[in-house]
Amino acid sequence: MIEFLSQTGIVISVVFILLTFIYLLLLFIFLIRIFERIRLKKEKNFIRRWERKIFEYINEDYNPHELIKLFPKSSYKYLLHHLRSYQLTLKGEDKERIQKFVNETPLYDYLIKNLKSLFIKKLIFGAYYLGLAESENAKFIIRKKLKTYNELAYITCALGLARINDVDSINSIFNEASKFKYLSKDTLQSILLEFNESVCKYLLKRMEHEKSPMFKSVIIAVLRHFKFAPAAPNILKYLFNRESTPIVIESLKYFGEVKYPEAVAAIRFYLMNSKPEVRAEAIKAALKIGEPSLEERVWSLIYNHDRNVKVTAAESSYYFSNQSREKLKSLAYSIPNTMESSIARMIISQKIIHLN
Amino acid sequence: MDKVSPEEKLKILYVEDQEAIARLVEYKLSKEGIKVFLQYTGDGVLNKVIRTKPDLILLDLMLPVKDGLSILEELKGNEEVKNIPVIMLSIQGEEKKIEQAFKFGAADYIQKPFSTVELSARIHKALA
Repeated sequence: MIEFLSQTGIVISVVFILLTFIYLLLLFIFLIRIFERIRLKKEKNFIRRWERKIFEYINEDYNPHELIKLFPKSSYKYLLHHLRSYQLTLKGEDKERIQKFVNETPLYDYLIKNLKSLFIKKLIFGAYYLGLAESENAKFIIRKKLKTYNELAYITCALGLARINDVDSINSIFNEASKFKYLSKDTLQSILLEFNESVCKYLLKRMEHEKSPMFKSVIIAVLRHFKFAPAAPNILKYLFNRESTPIVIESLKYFGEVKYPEAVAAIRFYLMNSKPEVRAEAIKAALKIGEPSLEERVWSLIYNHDRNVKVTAAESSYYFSNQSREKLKSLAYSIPNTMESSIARMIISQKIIHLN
Repeated sequence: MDKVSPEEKLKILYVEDQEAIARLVEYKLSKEGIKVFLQYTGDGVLNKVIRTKPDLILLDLMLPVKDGLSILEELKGNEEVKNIPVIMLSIQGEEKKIEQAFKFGAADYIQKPFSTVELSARIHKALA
């Protein structure tokens, strides 16, 4: 009897705890929804009240000092948040007007105060919006804040410096990046792409002494994005020195983009590389350069043992020349039905649908 | 597309999910005497076009519910609205989609970020 009662007591306690937990969870969700509604309502009210004035300012009917007087300091956060979409989507005079509004009014001091704050959240807020406004005067403080051990703060500061196009901070961006074990290649690359193309010569200098293969491949990717041809002789050395796979792949992509004829010999060599991902990238580079002497070798890779290489070779052959395209069509409908002929049919079918 | 006389107000339908940008463009174009209808999602664009009969459509590629390319294909496949010029708005890296949009019959495209001056110039060019 006692045992039964004690067991029932345990069950009741467990049920009670579970119900309390569910109740708290529901309460939490309810409160989050309420807060979100209040925030959205505030934002809507803000937009309804001020949007027209901002439009008039962008249209040059207002001067920035007059405009800022209309906004209470408590609304600066909403104001900056609202201006964000204009800064990201507009260019030319419209964007310059917004930047002037941020940089030449008390909004600037507000952001600097945030940037100097000891609270990471505020620092990130300041760095982000100062970067977005391309606040040249803030770059020295952002550079100092770059030396942080918080990854998100680092990313925001680096992004800010890139948007300001502070090319002198390139070395600091790389040096500080090495502190973060989990900083991805894509993150670093997207930061560097926010610079304008004047960053390329600084990246080239950095690349010559760079030890990290990840950083090196990021630099090559950015140089490719800007189609920075003066880097070609240096990058060609990486192909001849048989550097690590990520560097080789990025180098091949680079040569395809800048169409550097001196790289043909290296591309020919990498078409026979032992790694399928390298062979596939070499095929794409050969097609982009359009070197006729590589056509036959690209075609032969349709018979490679790796499926991805086969598909890349078939797709490239379709575009390489009319002759290769005709060969691909013949292969597609040849007998017996092989893996190669299936791939050829698949490519031709894709292209015909694409053209239609 | 017939030319619109100066007395007649030009009408544009702007399909854009960034509401703040859409309203700014509406404001800017209204200053030029253009009437702008706004649509924030890709849903129901064809119906809105039939209802409002705009002289031109500004169509963002990336839209919630239905993407810009599908909408364009739908518009160009409709006898009633297929002759209305469509200007596509895209971001960098969407070149393949823009190529496809031209195949479907887009009149022009503008890459984001854009300037409202450029936007206005392209609208007038497409309507000329």
